[in-house]
Amino acid sequence: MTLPDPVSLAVPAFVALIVLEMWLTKRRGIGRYDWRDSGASLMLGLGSTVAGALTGALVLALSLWVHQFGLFDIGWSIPAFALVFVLDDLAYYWFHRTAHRVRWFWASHVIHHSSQHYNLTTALRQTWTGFFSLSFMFRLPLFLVGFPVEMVFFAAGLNLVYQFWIHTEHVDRLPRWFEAVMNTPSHHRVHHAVNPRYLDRNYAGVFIVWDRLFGTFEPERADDRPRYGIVKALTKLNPFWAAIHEWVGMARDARSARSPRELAGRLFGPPGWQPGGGGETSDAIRRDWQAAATPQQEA
Amino acid sequence: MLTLVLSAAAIAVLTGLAWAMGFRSDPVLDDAAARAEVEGRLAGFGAVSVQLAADGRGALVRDAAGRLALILPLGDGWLVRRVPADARLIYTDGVLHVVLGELMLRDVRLAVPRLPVWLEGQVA
Repeated sequence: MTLPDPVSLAVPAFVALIVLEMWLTKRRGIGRYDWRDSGASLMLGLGSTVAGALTGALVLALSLWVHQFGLFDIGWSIPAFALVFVLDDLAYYWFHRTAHRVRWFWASHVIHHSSQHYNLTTALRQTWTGFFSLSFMFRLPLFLVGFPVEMVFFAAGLNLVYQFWIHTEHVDRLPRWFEAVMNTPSHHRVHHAVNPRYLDRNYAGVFIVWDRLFGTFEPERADDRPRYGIVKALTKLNPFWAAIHEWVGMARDARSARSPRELAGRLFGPPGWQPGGGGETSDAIRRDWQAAATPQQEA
Repeated sequence: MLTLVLSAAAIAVLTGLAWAMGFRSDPVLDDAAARAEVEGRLAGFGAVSVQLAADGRGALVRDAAGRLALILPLGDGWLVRRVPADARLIYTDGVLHVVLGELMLRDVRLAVPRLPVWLEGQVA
């Protein structure tokens, strides 16, 4: 069965919603836009599409090759599609969590977080180097189970389209049942924030239940408004630098490593890792913040 | 190829629209904004002294432990950096140089008409 690419079909809606959000930002004074930041985000989106077109055939060929070893011969049906949509989102959760906890994958994913703005153009700020970092590996188990390749890619496309609309400050909280099950603008604002409380939380793509299940959920608080971006903010709004800066930094760090252990830490440790434990990792930042917030006990 | 050209055109239109709608500010800092910016970005950093750049487009901030942080302009917002303890600070002709040594941020210059007392011991 041949299915359309949901992302391509959604592009006109993306453009219309960005224009609408700009207008609402102007009118309501909620959220922020900056023409330089938005231009960089949109350029990064285009670059990601080009990178995907250049490497898509290889990923498809690998997926088809793996699928021939599938455990089950799963046919086309509504229940199968519903199941693959949920399982693809679970695979996305683990990819996304790894992308924040392992520098090799972070080097590719950091692009998406490199803006200090949080609006619909931020959603389009996507990786150029996902193929190089081998992030497609996280989806391969679905082919090994036996789901049709086209079905998996269609589900992945729908997942990506869903994640577009949650990159906004114009939607506050949605009905409680929806916030309990689905990823929402509120949950995803937490994910893009660098406040110590929010670092490395809410990895969900579509269903926030994965974060609740695996202990990474953090609700947005009115008394701790999210500040967006990355711990070590980019010094330029140049999209090319945004796309490669972490790879450049990692290569420099790897070259200066003085032992195999240090090299492994530089490549596969958490972002910010330094030998000797003095690095500004998410865990260290949260630990320092908690220590500062806890009143000192009198001896 | 046509898709690529149309996409590039759409990017130009949307970016131009953002500019035309006024999303192009270059804000300036005051003392309170500098404190809020640095404390919001650097966990555990409590600002006690602020030296604003002459044009308000940057600041050097000190905490109670004597640690320094820089605030620099980035689009309509700010970039905040801790100044490493071993970073060189040089003051010449009303310009404070902070040598961070980062690949894309080697030497930061802030126009500061008069060096504050709390910085004098740390500046060459």
